[in-house]
Amino acid sequence: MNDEPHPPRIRYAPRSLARRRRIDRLFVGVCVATSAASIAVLVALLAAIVAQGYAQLNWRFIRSAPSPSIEEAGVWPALMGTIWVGAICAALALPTGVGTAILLEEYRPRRRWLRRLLGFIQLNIGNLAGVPSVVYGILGLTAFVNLFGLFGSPASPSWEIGARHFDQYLTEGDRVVLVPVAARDAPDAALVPGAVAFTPQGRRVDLNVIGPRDRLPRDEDLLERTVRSDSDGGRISREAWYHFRVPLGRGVLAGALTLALVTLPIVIIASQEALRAVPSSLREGALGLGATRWQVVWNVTLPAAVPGIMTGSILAISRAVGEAAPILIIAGIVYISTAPRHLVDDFSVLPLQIYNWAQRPQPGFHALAASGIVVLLVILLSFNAVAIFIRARAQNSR
Amino acid sequence: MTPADSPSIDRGPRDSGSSTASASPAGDTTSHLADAPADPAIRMRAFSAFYGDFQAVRAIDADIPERQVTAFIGPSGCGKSTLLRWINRMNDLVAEARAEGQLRLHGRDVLGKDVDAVELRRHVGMVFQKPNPFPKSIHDNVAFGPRLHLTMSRSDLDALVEWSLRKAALWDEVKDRLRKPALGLSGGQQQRLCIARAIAIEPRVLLMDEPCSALDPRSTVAIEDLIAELRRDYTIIIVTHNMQQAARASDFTAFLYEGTLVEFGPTRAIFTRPKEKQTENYITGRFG
Amino acid sequence: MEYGDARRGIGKGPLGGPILTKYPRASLIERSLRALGGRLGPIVEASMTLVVAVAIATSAGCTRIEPTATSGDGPSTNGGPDAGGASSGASELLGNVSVDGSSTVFPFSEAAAGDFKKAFPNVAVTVAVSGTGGGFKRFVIGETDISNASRPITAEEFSQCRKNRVAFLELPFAYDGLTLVAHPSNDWVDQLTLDQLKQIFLEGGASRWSEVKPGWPDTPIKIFSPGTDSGTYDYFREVVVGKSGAALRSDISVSEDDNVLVTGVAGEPGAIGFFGASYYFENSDRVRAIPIVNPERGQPVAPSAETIRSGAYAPFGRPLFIYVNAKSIRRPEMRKFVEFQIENAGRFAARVGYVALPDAIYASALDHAANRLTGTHYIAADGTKRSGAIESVYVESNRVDIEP
Repeated sequence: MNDEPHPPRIRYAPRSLARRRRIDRLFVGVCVATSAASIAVLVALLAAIVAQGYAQLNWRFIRSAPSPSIEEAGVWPALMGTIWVGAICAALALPTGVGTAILLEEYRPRRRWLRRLLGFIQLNIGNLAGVPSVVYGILGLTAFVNLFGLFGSPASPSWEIGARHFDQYLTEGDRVVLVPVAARDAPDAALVPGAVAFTPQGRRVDLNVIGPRDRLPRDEDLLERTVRSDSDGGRISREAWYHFRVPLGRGVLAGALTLALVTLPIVIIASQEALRAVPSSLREGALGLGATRWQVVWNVTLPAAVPGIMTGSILAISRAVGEAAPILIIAGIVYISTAPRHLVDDFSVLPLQIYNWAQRPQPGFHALAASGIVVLLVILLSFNAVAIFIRARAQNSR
Repeated sequence: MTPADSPSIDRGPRDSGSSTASASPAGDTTSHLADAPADPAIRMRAFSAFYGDFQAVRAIDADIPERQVTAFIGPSGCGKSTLLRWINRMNDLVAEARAEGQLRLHGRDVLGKDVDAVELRRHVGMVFQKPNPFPKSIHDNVAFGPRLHLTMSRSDLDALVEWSLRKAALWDEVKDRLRKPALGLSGGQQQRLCIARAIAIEPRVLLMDEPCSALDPRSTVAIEDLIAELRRDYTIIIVTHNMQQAARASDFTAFLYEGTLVEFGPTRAIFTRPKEKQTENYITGRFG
Repeated sequence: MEYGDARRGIGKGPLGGPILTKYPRASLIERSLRALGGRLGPIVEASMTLVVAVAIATSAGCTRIEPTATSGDGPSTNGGPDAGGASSGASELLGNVSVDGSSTVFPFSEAAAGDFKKAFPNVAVTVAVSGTGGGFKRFVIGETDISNASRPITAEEFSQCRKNRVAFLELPFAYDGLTLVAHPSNDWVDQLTLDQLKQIFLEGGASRWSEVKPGWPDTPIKIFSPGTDSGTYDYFREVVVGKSGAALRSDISVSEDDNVLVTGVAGEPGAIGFFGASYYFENSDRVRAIPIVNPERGQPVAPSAETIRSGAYAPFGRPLFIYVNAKSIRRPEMRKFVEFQIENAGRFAARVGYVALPDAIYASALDHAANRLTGTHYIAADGTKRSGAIESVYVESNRVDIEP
C-alpha cells in the first residue's frame, strides 16, 4: 500500500473555549430578551384594554343591543353574530380544507397531466393564502350575497322556504291583525268579510270590514277587529328558524361563506403540512396490509395528522373571526338589535361593533370598544381552548 | 392452543387463481431454472423494472419456490428491493416506476393494469426495514389488517390477534398490555409486532425488506428464529445485506448485481460452490 | 298550533285581487321543522347563553355578573318613551325596517331605532352606513325602506327613482353645521371668506398660509377632508366650488372616519379640515372652529346651535334628511317608525349633537308623511337644483314628484 495518500499538513490554533461560551450565553440572552419583549407588549396591550373595558363589562353589557346611550349599549347581537359566523365558517372550511389537503397529499395521481393540474391548484392555493381578506369580501358580495344576480335580488328571492307572508293591518281599535298571503310578492289581499286573519300570537280573528265612509262601531271589542276596506296593509314576513332563500342576501351564511374562503387556503396549507409530517412508513405499512387509499387516510394518516390540522385550522378560523374587512363589505356597519334568528338573517360581528364604537368622538364609546375587545378575546380564547382540547385528546389516544 | 394452530375462522373462499399453480412457462428456461421446483409461488420471466429512463432490474427469469425462504442478496442499488416491492406492487406509489415482462403469483398476473393491488396485497404481506407500528394499541395494530378486509365478532377478532401474536412469538411478552401503545415496545418487539400484523391477514407470501437492519443482535436472532418457524406456512422472501443471515435463514439465495440476476440456487450451493466468479467475490467479501 | 290547520282555498275578492280564505297548510317537512324549532329553540337559546356566560365568567371571573331577564333579546320593554300611542295594542306590530345611508345621520338613526325598539319590540330596525351616495344607490332600486342623507337628493338619483318608479318622501329632521377647524395654536386665522376657502381648497391655490393673506405665517397648509362618498364632502364641494364641477386639490388627507380628521387637524399647527358640527361640538377642546364670513351680511359667524338654527351660519348650515320609500310607508310598522323619528327628531338631534329644525318644518314633514306627499323640493321640474334656507325651499309649491 505505497500509494496511500499522506494526511494533509494543517496549521491550526485552538479556538478559545471561553469565547465560545460567551457567544453561547449572549445568544441565549438575545432569545430571552426578544421573547420577553413580545410578551411584554402583549401583556401591556391586554392590561390597557382590560383596564379600559373592565368597568362596563357586566351581564347587561353582554345581553343588550347597541344603543347611542353609553349606559344602555351592549354587544349581544354582534356577539351572537360572531359565534354564528365563526361556527358556520368552521363547519364549512374544516371539511373542505382537510378534504382538499387529502386530495393533494394522499391521492397523488400517476398521470403526468393530472399531476400538473394538481400542481397548478397547489400554486393557486399558495397565492390565495396571500390575498388580502377584503378582496374576499368583494368576491363574497357578488358570489354569495347576490349569487351573480342569476336568481333575482335578495329582496325578491327566486326560491325560499320557512317564511310566511302576511299583510299587516292596524285595526281602527289600534290592534295588529295579520292577513296571510301566498307569497312574498303576491298581490295585496283584498279585505272582505270572512278573510282569514290572525293576531300576532296566532289567534284567529273574525275581521269586521267596513267601508271607507262607514261609521265606526261603538263596541270596543268590535272596534279592535274593525278595518276599513281601503286601509293600507304592509307586507311582512315571519321567518322561521329554518328560513332559507336564494340568493342569500347580506345574511349570516353569506358572511360565513366569505370567511370560509378567507380561511380555506390557510386550512389547506396547514392540513397539508400536518399530513406531510406523517411518516410515509406508516402509509406503506397500511398499504402493505391491503388497505385502500381511503382506508389508509381514515385509519392511519388522518388520525396522526389531526393535532397538526386542528392547531393550524383553528388558529386560522379564530383569525377570521377577528376579521373586520370582509364582513364590512358583506354586512356593512349596521345597527342591529337582535341576534341572528336563521341562516340568512341580517347580522353584525364584534369587530365591526368595536370599529363602530372606536371611531365615535365620545370617550365613553372608546371604553365600550375596549369592553367589546375583551369579549372578542374571550371568544377567540374559547376557540383556541377547543383546539387545544381536541389536540390533547388526539395525542392521548395514541 | 399451540402457536401454529390457526383459529377456525371462515374467511370466505380464497380466490380461484391461487388454488392451483398451473400454467407451465411458455418461454425458454435458462440453465439455473433446471433444478427449480416445478410449482413456484412466484414466476418471473424477462422481468424488468424502470424508474423513468433508468432500468433498475434487467430481464430477470426466476421461480421462487413455495413455503421456502428465499434471500435476495447483492450490493446496494443492485435492484433487490425494487424487485421485492414489485411483488406486492408497492412501487405503484412511485410516480415514475414501471415494469415489463412477466411476474406471476401462484399463476396469476401481478403486473397487469387490471390487477387490483389492494386484493393482491391481501395475499402478500410485507415487513419493512424500520419497524413501523401504527400509533395505536398493540391489539389494534394486529387487528388493523383483519378489520380492513373482514367483519367479525369481537371475540373472533381477539382470538385472531392472539393467534397472530403467538405465531410471531410475541404473545407472552405483550399479553398483559394489549391495550397499551405499540410505540412503547422495544425495537425488536416492534418488528415482531409488524410480522404479527402482516400474518394476521393470512398472506401466502411474506416479503421482508431487510427486517433486521435496524435491530440489535439479540432481536435479530429472535427474528431469524421466527422466520425459521414461519417457513412451514408461508413463502418468505427476505432482502438482506447480511451474508450470514442469508446463509443461516434461507433455503434459496438469489444474487443480484447491477439489476441482473447473476446466480440463483439453493443457499448451500451458492455459499459453498458458486458457479459465477462475481458471486464468489461478493460472498467472500471482495467487493460490495 | 299556530295559524291553524285550515285547508287551502283561494277566492276572488270584490276588488279582483286573489285572497286566501283559508290559510295554506304547510308541507310535512315545514311542519316538522317548525315543531323541531319549537322544541329545540329554547334549549339552544338557553345553552348558548350558558356557554357565553360560562366563558365570560371564567375568563373575567371577578367581574360583576348581574343575571337579569334571560329570555328575549336586548333591553326589556318597560319604561319606553312616548311613541305615539305605543302603550296600546300597536306595540305588537311585527316587521323589518331597513335603513342605509349617511354616516353623519347614523347616530340619529341609531338613537331612533334604539328607542323605537323599546316601544315596538317585534320590529327589527337595521341601520347600515354606506354614505349618502351609497345609500341612495340601494334606495333607488327599492332595496331599502329609508335612506339617510346629509344632502338633498341629486338630479341623477332623482331620475333613477323616476326610471325605477320608486316614489319617495323627503323628510328633513335636523340641521348640521359643516364646520371648518384649525389647530388650536393657529391664532392667525380669525375668519375666512369663501374666496379664501377657494384659494386654500382648490387645485393650484395657496400652499402656504402666507399666500392666502399677507401677514399670515409662512407655514405649509395641510388639509383634512371626509371621503368623496360622504354627503359632507359633496356639500362642501358644492358650496366652495359651485356647479363648475372642479375637484378639490389632490394632496389632501381623506378619511371616512371623522375621528381621524380631528386627530389629524389637532396634530399639525398648519392644518385645516372640515366635518359635521356635531363632531366639532364633541371635540371643541382639541380643535378650533374658524368663523366663516356670511356672504350676505359680510360678518364672520362661528358655528353654534343658535347661529346654525337662525341661518346666520351661512353658507355651511345644512339640513339633514331621511328619504322614505313611499311603498314602504304603507306598512303600519314603517309608518310608526317614520312618525316616531320626526316627532322625536328634536330630542334625538340634541342628543347626538345636531340642531333641531323649526317646529313648523317638523309639522310640515309629518304632514308629508301622513298624506304621502311624495317627491323632492330640491330639484326643479327642469332638473335644476334648488338651494337656500329650508323654510324657503321645503314648501308645497316646490314639490316635484317622480310622476311628471
